[in-house]
Amino acid sequence: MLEYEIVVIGGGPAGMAAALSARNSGISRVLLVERAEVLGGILNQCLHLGFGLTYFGEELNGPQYAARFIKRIEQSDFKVLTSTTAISLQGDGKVILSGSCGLLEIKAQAVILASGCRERPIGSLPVTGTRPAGIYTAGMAQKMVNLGGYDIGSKIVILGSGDVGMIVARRMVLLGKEVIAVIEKEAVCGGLLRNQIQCLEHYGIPLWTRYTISRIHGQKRISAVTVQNLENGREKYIECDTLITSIGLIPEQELAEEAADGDVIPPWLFLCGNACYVHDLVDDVTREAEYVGRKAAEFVKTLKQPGSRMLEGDAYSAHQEQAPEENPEKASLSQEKPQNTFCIACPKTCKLTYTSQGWEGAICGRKDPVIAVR
Amino acid sequence: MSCYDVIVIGGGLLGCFAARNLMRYKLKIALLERREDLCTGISRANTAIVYSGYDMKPGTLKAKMCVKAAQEFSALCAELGVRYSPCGSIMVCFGPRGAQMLRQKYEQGLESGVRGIKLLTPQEVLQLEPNISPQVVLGLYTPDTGTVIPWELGIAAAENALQNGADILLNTEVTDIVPSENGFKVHCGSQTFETRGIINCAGLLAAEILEKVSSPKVRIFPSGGDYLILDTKAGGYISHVIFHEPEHKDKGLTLVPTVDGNILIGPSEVPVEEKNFFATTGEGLATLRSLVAEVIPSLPLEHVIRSFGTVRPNPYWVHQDPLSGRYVPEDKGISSFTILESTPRPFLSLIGIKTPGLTCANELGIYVADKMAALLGKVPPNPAFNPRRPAPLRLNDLSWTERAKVIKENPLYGKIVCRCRKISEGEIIDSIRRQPGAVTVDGVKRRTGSGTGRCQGSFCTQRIIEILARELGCSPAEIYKDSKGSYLICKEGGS
Repeated sequence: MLEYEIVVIGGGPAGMAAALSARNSGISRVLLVERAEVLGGILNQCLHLGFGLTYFGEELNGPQYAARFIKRIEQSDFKVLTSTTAISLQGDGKVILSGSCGLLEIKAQAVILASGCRERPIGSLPVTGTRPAGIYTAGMAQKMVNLGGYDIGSKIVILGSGDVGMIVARRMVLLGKEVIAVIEKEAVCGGLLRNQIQCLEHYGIPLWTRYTISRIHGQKRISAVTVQNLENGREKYIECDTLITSIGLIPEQELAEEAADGDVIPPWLFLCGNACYVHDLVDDVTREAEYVGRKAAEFVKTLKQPGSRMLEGDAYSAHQEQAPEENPEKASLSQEKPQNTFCIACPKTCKLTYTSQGWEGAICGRKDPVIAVR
Repeated sequence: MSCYDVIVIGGGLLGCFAARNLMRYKLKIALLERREDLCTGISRANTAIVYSGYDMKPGTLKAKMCVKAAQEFSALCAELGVRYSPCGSIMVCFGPRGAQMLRQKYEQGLESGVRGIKLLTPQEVLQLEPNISPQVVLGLYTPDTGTVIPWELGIAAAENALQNGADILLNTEVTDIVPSENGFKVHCGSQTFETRGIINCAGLLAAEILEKVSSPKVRIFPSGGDYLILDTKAGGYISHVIFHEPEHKDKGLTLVPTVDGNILIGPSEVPVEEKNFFATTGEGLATLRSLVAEVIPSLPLEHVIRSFGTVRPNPYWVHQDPLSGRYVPEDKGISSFTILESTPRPFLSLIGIKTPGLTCANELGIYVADKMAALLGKVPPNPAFNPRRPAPLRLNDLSWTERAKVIKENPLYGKIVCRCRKISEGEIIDSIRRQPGAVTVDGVKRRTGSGTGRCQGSFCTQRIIEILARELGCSPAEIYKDSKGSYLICKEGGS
């Protein structure tokens, strides 16, 4: 069995930043595992701009943002395994990896789970009718169009005004497709105002708020949807050949659940990025992941010095510390002390309040909550 | 022109098992399926239950077959390399009408020889299933109920038939059947087959197939039903199949802890329009949700990952209205298994086989195969018949050591494609290369389970399209979701 001090699961923005940060905090045996053939995660399919504004102080697209971290990883000396999936995370810190190189059992002193999130499937909604081809989640559509180079349809309805849905709506218009409407059940747009303006308004894509899709039509390929006005119940029949859904993102925490004993996440397990909770901006993901990487490094170091447990409240000072070499391009971490935040060490993401006793509110009893940077 | 001894029409569960069991005789067999894959009709949308047999009237063919089949189901699945969960069932009720029904079913079960059947007190029910509503007044337990994946079973039977020498002809839709000197000429578009006998297992179209050789006495009047599937996260909420005998409604709830660890809820009973087969209805889904609240209130319905609709093939004896020419159903519908024999040439029809058709699929297959052999006369048994079908490699069933060995031999078994179900590229390729292999995304899904997890294929579908295109030597735009026309990628210059 191979042994590593820190294993990072997931080579997207969170995993890359966490692994770099752990290595830069003095941990020599770090392993970064990514299931795709290349690092970068979902950034690779995000051809649009809007990344890096707060972290790098300039506007990048997804692959450019990823490339900066990939370059740093290439210059670093820790182990990276691509085309490798973590299929099991056991309570004793054993990670099982599956890749074309074989099945690897790895004993880790600490694990950082940066597995991202998945999209909520349309099957979870009470939408009736048939289940034909031509229904895609926004992320799936984005990947098929941007990375696969595939044409997935030309008369499109989008359900849900999440950010990915709006970005995909604009992308489809840029490809010469017709986006009939973005349908949102709430009274306001679900995503960032910036995307509502830049993706929908600038491209003349209608946003229908207080509407939902009540029925799907078509036997083989989708042929229409019935759209319902949630204020008065009236329905409209809209012909389309494609439905793209953007109805919510769910953190992928199944490995953490496997390692947990009931609801209690083991102390050696850290979560970051969208695997922890869904973020609006990748810049925030990077900063939090760097912080979690440092925390995991500290945890591994304390294991080596028995008797010198970290004191409560140390977490916050750790958060304030900033290793300047981590971001030579721009240092922009806020020094303000947040009054309310939450712990990102486990899927519970407990709300924390800073008091004279330190951070309070972690219901798992964790003595050293990992603070989200907000 | 190809000549056969027997042609089986329809590649659903019953057709696959009819073909398999015909191979026990020295016969030349073909199975004709109009779609591009097997088990794509009702066989892909039902409750997945193996019934122990107390629901059926004692002494009937249905009851006898069902009791026997349930007791032998583990052995059948072992033979065919199919996963089976013999989880047992508890029927529950919440009032006097239900309790009376349960006692009646208990008596029926005893009479039919259902093993281990017993009535349970509310305390005993709650001990076995603590999440059932404490309002429960009586339970009925049987150990021989179980759950199997219907298409996995059907495809295994077809593979076994093929392995024993049957021809399986996909994309072959019967357009006409003409009596001939030695039997029948079966026309399928431009192709024609000669056969001595026919077994009609055409599911929803069985009455139409029968009509080609005799005037119809029977017709199928379909009804619909809705199902919900919960993520494996909710899997631990029940450990037995739960049947609910309602007090006021016509149809109770069924909950199934599936082989894959999900919970299947359903079906409701709703009318169906022909153009909307397999569609879900708002009314049906709402009924399921309200019944869940009554039977197992703590069940976390936020874990629903999919809903789907089914079609029930309800058979009725009919007479033709002389004025309109339309077929009018008589009485309340046929409750027994409808196995019709047309004369003078050997032609058997299985029409409107509903519950427990899945349970009895193999028994019905044996029944019609034996009957056909008798009709053909002097058919010797096939001494070379091998009932065992080699199961596909399922990595999730292996230990880590075994898995490591498999990956070492073929690295493609190490590449995970479906992350939710942890299905490898090796398993997907195997599902395409097996005979009859998958040619569609849903074909891969039915054989491997890919895309049935909590992301419902949003991560792996593109990858599966690409693997299918590579294996089949075609463009990704030629890969369909389920059947011709259900395209996922548009061809260049429009679809």
